[in-house]
Amino acid sequence: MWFPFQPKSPDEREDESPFELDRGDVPVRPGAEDLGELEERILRALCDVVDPELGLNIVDLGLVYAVEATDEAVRIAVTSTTPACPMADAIRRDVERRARETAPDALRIEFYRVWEPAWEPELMSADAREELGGAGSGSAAGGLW
Amino acid sequence: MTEGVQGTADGGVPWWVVLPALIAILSLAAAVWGGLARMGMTWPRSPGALVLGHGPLVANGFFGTVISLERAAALERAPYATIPLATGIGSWVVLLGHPVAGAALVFGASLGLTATFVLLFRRDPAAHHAVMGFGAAAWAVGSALLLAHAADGRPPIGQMTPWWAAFLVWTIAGERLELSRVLRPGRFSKLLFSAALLSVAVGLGARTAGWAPGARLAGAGFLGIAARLVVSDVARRTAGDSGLTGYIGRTLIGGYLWLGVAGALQLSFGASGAGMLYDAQWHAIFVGFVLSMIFAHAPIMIRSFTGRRVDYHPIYELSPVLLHLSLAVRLVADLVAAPGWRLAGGLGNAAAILVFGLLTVSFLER
Repeated sequence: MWFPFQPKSPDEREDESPFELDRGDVPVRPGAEDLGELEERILRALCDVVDPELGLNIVDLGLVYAVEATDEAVRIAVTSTTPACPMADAIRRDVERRARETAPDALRIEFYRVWEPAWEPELMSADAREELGGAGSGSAAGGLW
Repeated sequence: MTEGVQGTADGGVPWWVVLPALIAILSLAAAVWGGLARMGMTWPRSPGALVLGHGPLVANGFFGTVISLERAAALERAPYATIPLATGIGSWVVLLGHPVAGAALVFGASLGLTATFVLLFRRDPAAHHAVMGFGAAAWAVGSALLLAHAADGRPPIGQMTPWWAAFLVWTIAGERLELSRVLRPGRFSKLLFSAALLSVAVGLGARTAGWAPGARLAGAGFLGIAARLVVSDVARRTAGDSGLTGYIGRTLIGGYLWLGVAGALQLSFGASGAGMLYDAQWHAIFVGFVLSMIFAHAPIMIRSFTGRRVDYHPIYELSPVLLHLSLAVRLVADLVAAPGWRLAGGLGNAAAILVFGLLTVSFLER
């Protein structure tokens, strides 16, 4: 259907990210084996970044897809539960701020918004699912609903 | 992303957000003034156009503008702002004495919003896009009626109001659907919800076509939507939390309960002409349900538009509390036919809105 101004596609909303992420790579959880000490601290600091609607932080929601700290930069890849999330920029700023506070010596903080792999409720932590009452027997993946 | 509306890097809010937002606020203030006059407030004396045009001004000038502005901001493309501008400006063009031109602008806006959701659905065929698209289509039906009767001089507002209510209820239901994916609702819950949404559509369609009992079916649908929201929405789980999250959850639940009251009143009493029962049946939705949604989400939406926080303090709870109390007074007064108390309730509604505005501004991060 022709319409003069197409809504932005997910590709247009995505930042060019240095990460190659598979379904099994995400999300990043505190205590994961391949996290360095600084990366672990950053990830725990991101537990302060909360979605106010849900009362859950972005780590428990499974929205943090990658954290990498090198001598040059701290790189963080984050997704949203929905493409047009009104909190997206606010969360970006909060993530950058917490990362800066945790790693004040880092040369750069690089935030990447990514959409692949697509987020789904199964990425939430056990804590988060318990907070939400472990509700429902259905799957949100695929189909009209 | 510097072109994006979400709190641009230099802290500025784009003009195509500010202008519709100002029109919306002005429309709300004018609509409240006209509404109070309709309930018997004689001073300050309201212009006749505001008294007669209260319904369309609320539906198109305020709510239509706000909803389409929210969507334009989310899509982050300035051309989509023509939709809220068209409905906002169109509403005032009607008031200023050009009903056909104004109604055409509003109708055009409603078609634009419907088309937007068709596009979004084609890209991502999710239920919430379909539901919000049907909401926009309901707005288009109401706007078509407005346009068709624009030259009459006395448009049948009572026919349009149900469609405007459906617009708002479906839009909000769609947004809650999108959010409640985190709860992974089961098949039964989804079926019930679909049935309730469908009941509203079928009921309203039948009623407009002349079958009066359709109004009761629509009422049953509103009641079903409310029940599903109270039971299955995220708000039920967050209502007990502290801080902003708890405030949002509690305020939403209050709104859902008002939707249930509206549905019950419509189911019980059926379609009504202008009068106190009509006041109760529809203001339970427009004031109780929809304004609660606005009170609940304002801190998030303001942060999204401007990048600035609205800090939560417990006193912020005053606004929804005032709203609920005054609306309860108003509705009881409607049902026992006590016009003086109805006006008192209406004044309380206006006070709640004013308090909400003042508190929001005072807690806005500098």
